[in-house]
Amino acid sequence: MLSMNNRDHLLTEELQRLRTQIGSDFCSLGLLEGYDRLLKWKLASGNVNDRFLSIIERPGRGLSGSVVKVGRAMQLNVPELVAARQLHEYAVLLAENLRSAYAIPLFIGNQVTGILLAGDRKRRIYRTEERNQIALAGERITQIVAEQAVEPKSS
Amino acid sequence: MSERSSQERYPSENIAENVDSLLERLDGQIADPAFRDVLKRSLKQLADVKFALDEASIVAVTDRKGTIQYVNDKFCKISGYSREELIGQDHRLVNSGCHGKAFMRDLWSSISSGHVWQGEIKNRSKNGGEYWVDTTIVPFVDAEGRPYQYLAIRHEVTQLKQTEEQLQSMMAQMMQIQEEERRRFSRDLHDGIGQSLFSLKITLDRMISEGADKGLENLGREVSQLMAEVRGLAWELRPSVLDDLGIVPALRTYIENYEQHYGIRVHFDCNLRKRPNLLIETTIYRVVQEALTNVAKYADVFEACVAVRDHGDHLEAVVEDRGIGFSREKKGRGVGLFSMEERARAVAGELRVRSQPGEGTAVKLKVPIKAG
Repeated sequence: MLSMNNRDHLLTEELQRLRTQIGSDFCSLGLLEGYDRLLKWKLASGNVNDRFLSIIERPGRGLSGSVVKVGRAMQLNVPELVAARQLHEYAVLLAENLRSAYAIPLFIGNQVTGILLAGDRKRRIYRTEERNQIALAGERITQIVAEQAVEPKSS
Repeated sequence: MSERSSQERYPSENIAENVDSLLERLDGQIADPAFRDVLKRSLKQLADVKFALDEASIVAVTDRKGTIQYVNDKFCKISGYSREELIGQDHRLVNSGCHGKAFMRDLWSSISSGHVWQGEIKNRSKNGGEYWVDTTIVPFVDAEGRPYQYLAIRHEVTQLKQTEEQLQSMMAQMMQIQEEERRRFSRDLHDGIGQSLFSLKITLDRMISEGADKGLENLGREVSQLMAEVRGLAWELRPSVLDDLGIVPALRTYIENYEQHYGIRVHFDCNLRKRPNLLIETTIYRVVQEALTNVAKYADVFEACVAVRDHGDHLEAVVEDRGIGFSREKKGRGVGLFSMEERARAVAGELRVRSQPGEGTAVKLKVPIKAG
């Protein structure tokens, strides 16, 4: 059975690997928690500070309203979010000063349980093979998360 | 020619007044014809410029004490006084009394030390009507630099001023309508859709407890999320706590949500003991909201400070951070700043923004309140 630390260690490794693979500035894992399924960022690689840890995404807004709700990957660009007056809903982009990001939903069964986000502090378009790599990392991460989820909590 | 006789022959020193009589007598006085021609042309030009000035502007000349020596037709027309009623009178005759003592002292100290003064003045005409004039006062100084005469050139800007006031009151009304609409939508969302979802949730819970299909549990969870979203939406539009409990609980809730959403710690300091009126509460709430949103967007900080203080005759709200700041030229006229200034103006308050690159930003709102 994996301890929490061990799991976090494995997940962080995955985030780091993905970040090196696609040459991104920032990768982070967000999980939906509790009965209200609020999106919280749990782990990251390439973060400039720890603000992401205290961010709780608003229900129905930002990534909770898009990637989580629709269950589809999404490319985010700051200028477009500014034009749509939505930038303030994407707190993690602000906390890490990201200009572009690519976020995919993580599924357990047919339910979204989290988000894997890759981001950059410069404008970037994520190419198909990079998107595929993010998707693959997402699958590996989901597996680690799922294994933990079915285990009874050890405390 | 002695000084005394010259004063008698040319009793007025007002601009170009003696041009005609001088021109008539030039031929007999100056022998050099070329020089005489230049002089004639110069005098003629002076008279022409004076004519143009009179056509274009409201003109008055006073002596150094402010006694009117000359007024043109436009001055008489706008003030409603005849020339005879004005000449020899103190210029205060048209004073509307709407400018304070400090304003007048400033004006006089400026022109009496030989500086040109420019500004907008509200005057009163003979029949009591008020008019605004964009005014330039030019002191004419003697050899020692002492003013012996003041030339005032004015243009009427009453309509401009009225439009400005209307625009400002429209702006204030617009913001109020916006708040009213937000309040209505917020209530409708909360009491209408929110309540319907709540009763749906209760029905679902009852069906689940009575042993209905497992799938209903997921549905129940989704309804809960939907309720949370509707609540969030209503709260974002306009938190009902602002109307029900006032600015302090409203700000506390806002800050709590803000800290969670952006991961920025906010120190909140407040010494309000009673509720100001709702318009002021709304203004403070919106300004703090706007300023904190700017902090999250631009400042790049972990923490910020919000202070709301009662200073007896005025309230003060300050939002401060030690972030990257900005220079006025760069971001100083953002839309957010403009709307904060407008909001402040609508409650007769003022808004100041102090920021330096690398030294953080402070937004300070001051709103006068009735003491007591």
